[in-house]
Amino acid sequence: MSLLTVEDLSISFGAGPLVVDRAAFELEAGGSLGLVGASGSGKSLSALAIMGLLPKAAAVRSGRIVFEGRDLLAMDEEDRRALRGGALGLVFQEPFTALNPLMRVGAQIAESLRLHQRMDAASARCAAAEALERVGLTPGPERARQYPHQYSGGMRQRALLAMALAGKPRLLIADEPTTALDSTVQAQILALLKRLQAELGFALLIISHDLAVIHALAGRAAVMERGRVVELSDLATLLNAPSSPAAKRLIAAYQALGI
Amino acid sequence: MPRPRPFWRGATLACGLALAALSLMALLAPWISPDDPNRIDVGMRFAAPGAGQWLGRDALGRDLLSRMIAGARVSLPVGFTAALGMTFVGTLLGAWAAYAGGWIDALIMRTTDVLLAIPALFLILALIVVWGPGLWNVVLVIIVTGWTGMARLVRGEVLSVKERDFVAAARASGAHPARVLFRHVLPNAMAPVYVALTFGVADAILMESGLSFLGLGVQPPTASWGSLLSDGRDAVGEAWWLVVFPGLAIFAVLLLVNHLGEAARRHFDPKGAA
Repeated sequence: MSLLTVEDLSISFGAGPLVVDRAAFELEAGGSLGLVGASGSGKSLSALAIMGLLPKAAAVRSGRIVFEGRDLLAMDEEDRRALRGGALGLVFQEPFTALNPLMRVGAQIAESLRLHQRMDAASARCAAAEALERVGLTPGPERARQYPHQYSGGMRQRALLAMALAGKPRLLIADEPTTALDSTVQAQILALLKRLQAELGFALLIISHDLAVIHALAGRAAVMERGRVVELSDLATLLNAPSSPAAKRLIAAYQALGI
Repeated sequence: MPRPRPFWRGATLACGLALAALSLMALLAPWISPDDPNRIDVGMRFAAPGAGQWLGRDALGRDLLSRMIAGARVSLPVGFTAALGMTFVGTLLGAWAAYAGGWIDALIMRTTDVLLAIPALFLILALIVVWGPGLWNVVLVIIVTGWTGMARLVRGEVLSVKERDFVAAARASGAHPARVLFRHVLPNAMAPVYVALTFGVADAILMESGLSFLGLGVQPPTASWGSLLSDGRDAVGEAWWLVVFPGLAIFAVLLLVNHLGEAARRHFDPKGAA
């Protein structure tokens, strides 16, 4: 049985046109799936729908999101909140703004630990320091005492990763995790994500407009265009023999850069 | 790793101590007052500042310094409680409006519109007529009419802060909505509130003076800095000291409190402390 099954998912803003149109994909436990497409193709909204964090104006029109056998869309808000940051982790696109500037980094990670692992303050503080070391921010206790403005962009993205992993997620959604970073730091973060996935065994849903990012992390990818999943295949097929025009355009655009 | 600097140091410490000294002076008024603040001595009418009356005397020959020391017992508590009260009420309602949205937001914001549309003085007069004059009613009235500006300020800040990514990140980590509001949104929206609070203190002191002037605040012969200032205005041609010294006292308190507000804003900004 798959960990996550998205079936027939449609989302619209008010009575407007469908911005996600009958999207469907699934993800095995410990597996990884890329969600690729141009801006506005509905990738991020699909991810937010899985997290239960759709903007107020947006509504799910139809479909099911089944996670570990339970339909998320049928659950009440309290149950969904228990999943968020626990079994479902999310890494944001913008490392520069996704940390609270007034809280020490360790305290932000400890917040999640206390909530989901029922830790007391002292052990959460230790665990937060360990979580920072696990993502390569050493020495952990010292890094935990620092504020976000004392971190570089790459360090912040590592900290966000540590935050998302603190709840021991079984599914980690990474929404454009490297887009805001320069290319050397991008490579480091991607390598880190891959190593952590091997160590911790979470399933990874990686969202990007960048085929290189998808290629680095996922064996399979769903191509989205205008809210629809227009192609769902393993990466070798996608890169060598794309069947949909959207996938062909993405690859052509990539090759035009001459990389 | 820079150690967090203590809040009370340098100019901030000096301002804190000065305010503490003023409060102590107010507390000890009956014992340190050079003269009875209400003793009338018509022979000393408009005596200029000098020995025996360091800050001069008023139209009834009462000693201004003694009256200002006595007035601090009114002006300081009224200024601080009213400013803190309207900041508290305004922050809570403004944050609630912004965070809840929908009809709660509409209700709170239309209430502020209505309160702001009525000239404050009429509203205050109406409330005082209903509740009766008196010091604590004045404080209450200042809070009731004064929270609206603070609510709008906080609402605007919260509306902008709650769209920031770290708030979404906090929600994505499963934090309870109340925790998101009080731990992530509000602290990041408070910087202008510290500064507005300091102006609120001065506003409240002046508002009390206006009400006392109209006979609705403290009752004569009790003095407050505001009532001294209003009384002195009539005689400003003969006795400049009756306006200058109470005015300076209000100005000094505003300056001290304003510096403390600025210092608090800097202190709670980790980038300023580093």
